[in-house]
Amino acid sequence: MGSNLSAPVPVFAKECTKLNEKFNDCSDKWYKGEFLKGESTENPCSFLFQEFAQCVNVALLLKDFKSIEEFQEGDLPDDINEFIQENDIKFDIADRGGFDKK
Amino acid sequence: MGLTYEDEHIYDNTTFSDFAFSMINRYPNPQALHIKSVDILSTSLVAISGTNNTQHKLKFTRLIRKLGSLPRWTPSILRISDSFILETIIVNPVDKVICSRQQNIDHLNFLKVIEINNYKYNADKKEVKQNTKVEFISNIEHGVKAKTMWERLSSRVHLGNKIERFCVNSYHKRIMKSREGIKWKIEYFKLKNGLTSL
Repeated sequence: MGSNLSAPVPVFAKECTKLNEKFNDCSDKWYKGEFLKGESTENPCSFLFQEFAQCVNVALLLKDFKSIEEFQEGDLPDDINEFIQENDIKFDIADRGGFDKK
Repeated sequence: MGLTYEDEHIYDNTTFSDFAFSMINRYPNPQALHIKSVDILSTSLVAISGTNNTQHKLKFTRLIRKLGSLPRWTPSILRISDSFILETIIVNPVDKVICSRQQNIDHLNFLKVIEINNYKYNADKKEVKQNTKVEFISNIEHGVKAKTMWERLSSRVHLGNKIERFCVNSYHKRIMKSREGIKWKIEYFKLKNGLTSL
């Protein structure tokens, strides 16, 4: 998932490129062949993902960034529509009062 | 204060399977040369309620690093060379719906952009309807107290409002470019699959 062209998108950490390619090949096949047809109950590529995630995690920490777990716990809503309601995000310019009013 | 942008778009003459594949594989494409890297951070299968846990939707999150493009009049301290974006995508193969949320995770005081997309497949018309909602929030002059000279100065010239307005005005152009990219990718995969099946 994520890169599928003759020159693939580079990953954040160069040392993880090979692991990423393996995972991408596997998950692209699974995604198109099984998942989108609704035939799948588990992701067969999860072990490849674990390897890749570990590699990225190390790279993120080395570059003074958050670790993967923090991203996973803090920033990810299970359902995007629930997230909008919970965080009270308003998609309505009228409510905002425009530029002049504060 | 925050500003919003909302619109709709239709991708015609496609199937859900083709679209869903091209949408998550939309990078790299000629319209998105500013994308520097894409890393997948988590994947999981979530059971869809009401299907006795036999059907699942796929949820995954990616970290996208891209080159910033800010207007020339922003002060040089704020010139951002690159920024990180967290993207969560949920693919539901049963209802044929894709939801995505993108949000920048750095430079948050400067500008926070939340983009939410809903892609819905219409089997009768063979088209995908995209509904986009974007919210821009700049914190520059909405701080609690303007203490430093920089803060007083920026609130004087309404810099926060200016940045928000610039983003809303230029967003239409940007989002059309990103849609061109997805379209290009759909055609690309069609061609590629056609060639391999020969």
